[in-house]
Amino acid sequence: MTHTDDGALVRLLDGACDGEERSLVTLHLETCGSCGARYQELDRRTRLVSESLRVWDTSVRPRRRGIPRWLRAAAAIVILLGIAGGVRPVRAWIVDGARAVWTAVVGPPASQVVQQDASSTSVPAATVTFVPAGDTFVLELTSRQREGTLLLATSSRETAQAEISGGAGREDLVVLPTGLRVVNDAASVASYAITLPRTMRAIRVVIDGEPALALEPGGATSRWEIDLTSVVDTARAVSKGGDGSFPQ
Amino acid sequence: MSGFDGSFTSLYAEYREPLFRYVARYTGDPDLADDVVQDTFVRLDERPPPDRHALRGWLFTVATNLARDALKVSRRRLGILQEAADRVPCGTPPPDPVTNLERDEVRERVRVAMATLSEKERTILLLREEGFAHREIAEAVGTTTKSIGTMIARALDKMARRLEPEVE
Repeated sequence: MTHTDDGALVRLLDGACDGEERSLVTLHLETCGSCGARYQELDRRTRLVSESLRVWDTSVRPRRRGIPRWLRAAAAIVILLGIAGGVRPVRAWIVDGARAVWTAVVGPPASQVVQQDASSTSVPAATVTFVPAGDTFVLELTSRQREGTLLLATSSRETAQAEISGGAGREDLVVLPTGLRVVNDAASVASYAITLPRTMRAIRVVIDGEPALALEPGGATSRWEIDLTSVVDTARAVSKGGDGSFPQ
Repeated sequence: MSGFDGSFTSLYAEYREPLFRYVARYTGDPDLADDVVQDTFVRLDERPPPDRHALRGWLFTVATNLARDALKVSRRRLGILQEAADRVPCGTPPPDPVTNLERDEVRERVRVAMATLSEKERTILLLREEGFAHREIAEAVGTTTKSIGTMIARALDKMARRLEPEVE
């Protein structure tokens, strides 16, 4: 008697046999206890692996990176120093220091950053592309700047893109569950071009803890320009319509 | 103009979770899986597949390739698998200590068992878990449909030997 190989038994188990093979294998299993036992064993192993993987899944759900207690304590000390200093150069120093500590401990932020390019030219530029999680986007800038402009636009693309240009390499882009954080400081001179899907219903821009600037995208594409040097400005819609992309 | 004409948002909602589950099982690293899934959808937007009817297979194939590349670059798979085994389940109340211990033991056995599979065996087994047909799995890993059954049986055997040490 020619026994059925395991591959054919798995195909039968998975419904992957063609008509002729299914008939032959089924007929054989009716008369061969050995192959029948192997078929049952493959079925049992399939269920064993499935159940084990489901247990495994509970240990690999996405998680937010926790902050070690000692790092929280260090951060608290740095904040107290900042309050004691109370001046922007101190704050800029703190931001730089905190970024260096954070990078040393957990590595560069990567949880939702999907593409990132950094040039090695004398004028650093960084680009990040990502998929926004919802239809409300919060853009945070950690500081006003000495120079620089924020250009915001919506486009027909389904992904968001943020780019730093003209900086001195001291700025960073961090994708957050709620949106994006621009890590900059008072001495920064960079500009930022951020393109969001036009499906966004609301955009909030928060600079250095100031009241949020609410932008409401229109049905078509929209563009805004925000001066990062002055506290008193509001977003200026530079155009409506078009494809929303920024000139290169 | 978006590179993909279909409803990107609905596709993201439909496939994000199964893609994440698959990649997380493949890599053992939820953070890496998040990145890979994001990158997969960016790829969909920028360079969509020519055959929209094969979209599901395309997404999983792209995710597999990205996950494999990411693992090669990071070279941290073993450390991550070790770390993942120690993680506490999230989103559910803590079970009683006995149940917790049993689950930890299962996790450790799964980690060891997955590590015994080759990349191809792992891909095949996990795509099967996601309900792909043998023909689709064969296309994804570049082999014949007939050979898939044999590879699955071999992978099941390896897994069972580690999940149930008494099965020899």
